[in-house]
Amino acid sequence: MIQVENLSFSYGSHPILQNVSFTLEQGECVAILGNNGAGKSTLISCISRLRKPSSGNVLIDGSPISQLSRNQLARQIAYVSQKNELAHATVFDAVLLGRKPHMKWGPSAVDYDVAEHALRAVGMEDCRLRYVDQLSGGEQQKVMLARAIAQEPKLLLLDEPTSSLDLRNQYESMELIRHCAHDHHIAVLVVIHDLNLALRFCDRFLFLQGGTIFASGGAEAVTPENIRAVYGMEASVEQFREVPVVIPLFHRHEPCSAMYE
Amino acid sequence: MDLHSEQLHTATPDSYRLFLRRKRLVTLVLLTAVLTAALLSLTSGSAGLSLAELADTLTGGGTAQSRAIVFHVRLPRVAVAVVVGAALALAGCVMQNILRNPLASASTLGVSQGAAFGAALAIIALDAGAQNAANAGTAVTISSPGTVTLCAFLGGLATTAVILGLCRLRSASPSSMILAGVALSSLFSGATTLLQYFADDVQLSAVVYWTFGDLGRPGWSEIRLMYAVTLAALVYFLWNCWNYNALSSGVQTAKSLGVNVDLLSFVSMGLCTLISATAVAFVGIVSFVGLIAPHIVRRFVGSDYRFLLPCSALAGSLLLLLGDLAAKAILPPAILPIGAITSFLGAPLFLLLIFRGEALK
Repeated sequence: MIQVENLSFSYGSHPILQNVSFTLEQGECVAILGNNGAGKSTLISCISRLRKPSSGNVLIDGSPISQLSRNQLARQIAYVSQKNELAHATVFDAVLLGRKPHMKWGPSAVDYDVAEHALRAVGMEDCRLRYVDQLSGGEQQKVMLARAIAQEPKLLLLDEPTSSLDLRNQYESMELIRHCAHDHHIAVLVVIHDLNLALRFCDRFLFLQGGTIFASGGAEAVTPENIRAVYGMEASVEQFREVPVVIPLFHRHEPCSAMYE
Repeated sequence: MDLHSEQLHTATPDSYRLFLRRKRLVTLVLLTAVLTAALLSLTSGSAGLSLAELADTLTGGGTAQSRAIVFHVRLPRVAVAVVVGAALALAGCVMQNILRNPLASASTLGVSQGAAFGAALAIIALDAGAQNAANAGTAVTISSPGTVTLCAFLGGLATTAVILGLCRLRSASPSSMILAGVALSSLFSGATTLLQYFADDVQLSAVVYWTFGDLGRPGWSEIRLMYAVTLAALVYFLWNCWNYNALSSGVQTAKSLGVNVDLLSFVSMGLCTLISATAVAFVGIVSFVGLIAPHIVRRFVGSDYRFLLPCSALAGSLLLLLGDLAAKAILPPAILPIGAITSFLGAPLFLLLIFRGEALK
């Protein structure tokens, strides 16, 4: 179980996160929702200790991560950033890199094994020797996921994994992410903008607003009221073929018309 | 490391094993090329020496004359070419990784020039270089190699500190980092010129000759020091090859994979400065080898630092050995300064990189 306790972070005197607390279980996929600047990315970079929180703690199975070395932490938490700088490396080497926290001198037979299985888990075994910087965006995202799986973490953090993908790749990636949680028994925390994608693939939802958790819960927490409060926009949540669908109700007002007169 | 990869489990596909084997083959080919070039260098020169005579001398036989030639002239020269080439190439390879800048190397960032200034200061102001009376102007026996190395290291370190500060405080782009290197280089070159202005004739000829870059200068004690420093750095670099691999996927990814990026950058840059400063202190400025060698081997082994590091070192050694052979062959019996030769070989390659648009990608 992962417990986030009273996590706060600020840039100078400007607070970004204030006393954020929640828990998640291994095997569940949780979406972090909220508008730009709500502190979503900061939250997951604080959890992964890429940023140092000004107060609060994260506990994995009861022990605080602040006492772990970077390498010990990397065996517990994997992080897939929004933008990947891509080295000119083969797909297999990129996935093998996920074994880095477990290596001593170099990869062992087990490391090669785990990397190979991770590669197969995302269905990229035929691209083993292709170079990652020559792959499509969707394929690159799968390689990054495979690397995270190879890392065998307890917690996987993803920062907008679908933001640069086309429709089909968005769904495929999210399906894989859900697989990570359910099949590999990893706690997954994903920052995501698309409410419908989140509703389709995530088990729980955290609405973040102004650096605090505004609401959280299962699909029942995704209500027109919460969406209005968090995104400042009217929306309707309908059932379509037994799938909840968020339909934004955007009324175009014309504030600029005066300018043209 | 190789032991591990030999034990590949059955699940690892043959294609990847073949791929690794190909890279190992490249390493082996480079090693053979270095050995061949070294042998060629040992047998070539104004006093001709056949392969049989060479073998005889190396195994303890041979005439007094051939022993003198091999052990006092040719073997030190080859040993220096190998270690200096490897040191500069390793420094370039690691700097390119840490600074995330394909144009980084000791000479393009001004580290060599800083080291050269430090060494010149030691020779002139601290009297660390005593002129060899027998052949004044052609050889400087450095009376205290430790002092010269230390001063060269401090000079190089000054540049490294500025470059690292630029990265940290301004997150400098690759091109502005190189521009800073140009500025620092001319600053240190200017300072070295000033030193020369105030030097007496003997010191002046020593320093001018020394800035040419000469592989024949260091004696065995200096060579031992260079090997010790470079081998220690090589061990550290190889120990961290997976950290460098992680770092080439970005700082955030590296951190999330457990790499202590700050410590790694700090120690790596310090070691790069040390090994290039040692090379500069005893041989003078040798440009471009550190920049070009990693780029050449990247074409063959990709950017996997498991292979890139040893191959870069070998390629650097090979380049300097070939440069030395060219230096001997162009105007015999004169041996042209190696610094000039590597610049003539390296500059066109550097331009080619820029024209292909690969350098600043």
